[in-house]
Amino acid sequence: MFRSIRHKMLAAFALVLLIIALTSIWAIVNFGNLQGDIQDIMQSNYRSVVAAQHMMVALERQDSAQLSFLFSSDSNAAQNHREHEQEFVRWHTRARDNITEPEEPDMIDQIETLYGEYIFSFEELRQVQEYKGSSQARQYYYQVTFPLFESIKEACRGLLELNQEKMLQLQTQAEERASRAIFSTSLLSLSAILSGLFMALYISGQVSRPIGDLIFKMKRVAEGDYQQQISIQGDDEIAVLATEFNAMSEKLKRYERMNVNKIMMEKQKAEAIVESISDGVMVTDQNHHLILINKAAERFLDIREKESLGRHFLEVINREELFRMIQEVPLQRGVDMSKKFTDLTIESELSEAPRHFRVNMTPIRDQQGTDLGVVTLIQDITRLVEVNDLKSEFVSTVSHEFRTPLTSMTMAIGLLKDQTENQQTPDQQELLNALEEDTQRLTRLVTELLDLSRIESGKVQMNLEACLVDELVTYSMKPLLVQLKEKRITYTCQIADQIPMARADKAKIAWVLNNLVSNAMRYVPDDGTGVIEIKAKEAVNHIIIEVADNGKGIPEEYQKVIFDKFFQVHDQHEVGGGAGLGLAICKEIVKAHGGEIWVESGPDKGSVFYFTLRISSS
Amino acid sequence: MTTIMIVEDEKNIRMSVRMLLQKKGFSVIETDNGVDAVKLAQDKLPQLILLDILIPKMDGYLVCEAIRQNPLTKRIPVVFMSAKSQQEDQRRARELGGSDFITKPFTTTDLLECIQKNLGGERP
Repeated sequence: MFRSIRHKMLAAFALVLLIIALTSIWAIVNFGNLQGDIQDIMQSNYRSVVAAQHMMVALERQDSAQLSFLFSSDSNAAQNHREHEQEFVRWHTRARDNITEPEEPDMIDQIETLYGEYIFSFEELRQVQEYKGSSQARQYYYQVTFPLFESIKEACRGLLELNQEKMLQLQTQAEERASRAIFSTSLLSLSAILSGLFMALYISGQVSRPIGDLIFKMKRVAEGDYQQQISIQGDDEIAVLATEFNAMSEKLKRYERMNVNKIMMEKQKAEAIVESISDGVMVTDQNHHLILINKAAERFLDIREKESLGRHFLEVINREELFRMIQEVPLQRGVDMSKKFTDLTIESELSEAPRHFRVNMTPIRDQQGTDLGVVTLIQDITRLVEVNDLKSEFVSTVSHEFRTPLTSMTMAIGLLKDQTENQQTPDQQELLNALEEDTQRLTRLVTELLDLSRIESGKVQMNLEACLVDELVTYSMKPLLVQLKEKRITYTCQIADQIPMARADKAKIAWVLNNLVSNAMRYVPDDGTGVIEIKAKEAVNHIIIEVADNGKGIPEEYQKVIFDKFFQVHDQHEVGGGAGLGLAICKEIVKAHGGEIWVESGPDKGSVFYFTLRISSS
Repeated sequence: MTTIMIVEDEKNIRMSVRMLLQKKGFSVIETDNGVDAVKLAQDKLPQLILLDILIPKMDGYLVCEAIRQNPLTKRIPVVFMSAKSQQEDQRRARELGGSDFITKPFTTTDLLECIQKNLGGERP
């Protein structure tokens, strides 16, 4: 129909204007008619009335003049009569000019004819008066003039009344017309208003409804609902807009689906990866509700993902210690959580033996550093634990089995030496000494093996407490002081002032110091020039303790491997007794204290063994 | 003469300890299992008991407990001898009433020193 809204609106307005125009025209027409009527009334008919009236007056005057001529012998009467005759004629002409009614011409003609006779009759009257006297004149008057006069008057009156009637008629007509006009114009105006109103509502509806629909649907699209489509009616601008909107909506829908597909794929990929990890993976959110559990975790903890998701951690996994860890994790800012772990043992009905797990937790944080949750990694270390247990059992059994015969051997050798003190041959003496040495060596080896094995498996507890460094050194050195004196070794101890307390297991560190000094004693000369120094000082955030000797030093190629198990620097002059485990044990102990151990040395330059201890925070 | 009781199931160790003690002038009684040890302790009332832990019929810990519970024997100092050298083992031994603990293998000197230390140190 109409191509554009503009046209529609213009058409509507045009229609309204048309109606207004029609109404106006109708009113104007009616006004015109009324004007015509009034004009008619005012002009022609009224003029005729006036003319008739004046004619009658003139006639009356003429009659008066005639009468005065007759009865008063007025000399002016004739002149008067003539003047009024002129007036009569003048008004008669006017009346003739103002002919409006169809009867009028005849009437006027009649008047004219009669008047003509009247005028003639006056002349006759004067003649009679003059020649026949007054009484004859008067008689003439009564017989001829007066009837004529009456007829004319009658005729004039007729004219007058005709016009008056006409005027009345016209007035009534005008009144009727006016009231009709009022009525019809009111009606027309009303209908104009109503149609105008209707048009306004219709057009505004036409325009605003689709726009309203558009707005509503756009809002929905903005909120993410891309399913919206608008029905298109007509082909005006709004229809075009609606078409474009539908196209856009469709595109958005497709785009979203594409993105959603992409995201879904990525999500599925990530999920597949997590599922396939052989360690258990669990994720909890800020409120400690489970949001992810992979297959391995389900198996380890004997729970089902379907039943557990969304529920609180403790509802699903009844392990206080784990939950405590999860709660603490977000608070540990700046701490590398990957190194911290807790060990968990689960007795499940599925396997006879309890299973062992190493649990490690890491916080999940977004770029701004807000906590999003915790990732828990569960590693099945049952095998490791089993192997470790086996090893410990083995070592334990072995060491016991070794120690038993070693005891009787040691005792027997001691007894033999004692019993045959002065009776041995040099050979026998040598043999006995050899026996003693080797039994001692075996004893030491067994002890050290056992210790090392225990420390390595983490079975040995380090009882870490705050220790005064000088006390530690004194305590360690006490058993060796005699030997040092015997070997004429100069021993000094330098501990820095204000050195803080160390966090250490006194017995274990004493063992380390003892071992280091014992080693040193084997390497320094025993001719009185030997020097062993112990120093302790504070470094950045730990304490460094060093054992320095002026022995023959350790070649560089050995310095790294010296802490390995069973390693010994081969030297013919070396006094036997070591098994190569001492330094390995030192290393394990120092490591268990969170410290480091190393050596600085050079051939014939002596050696310095360093190890670090943590500073006690209390 | 001071009597010392040896409770040890390894015959060689028993033999060498006996030899040593006798040489040093002690009188020695010996047994190789826990049940007999308790009985013997009550019968003979030695001045010191050297007690191995891993022995048949009743282990050293139980023996010590029994000895302590028996009013006749409860005053006798008990020295544990064992290949077990861990702190928990020593602590446990002490808790059960052991007076001292010596780790195998030990030298003749070690043993004698230990005995000297504990003899006469009768428990109240």
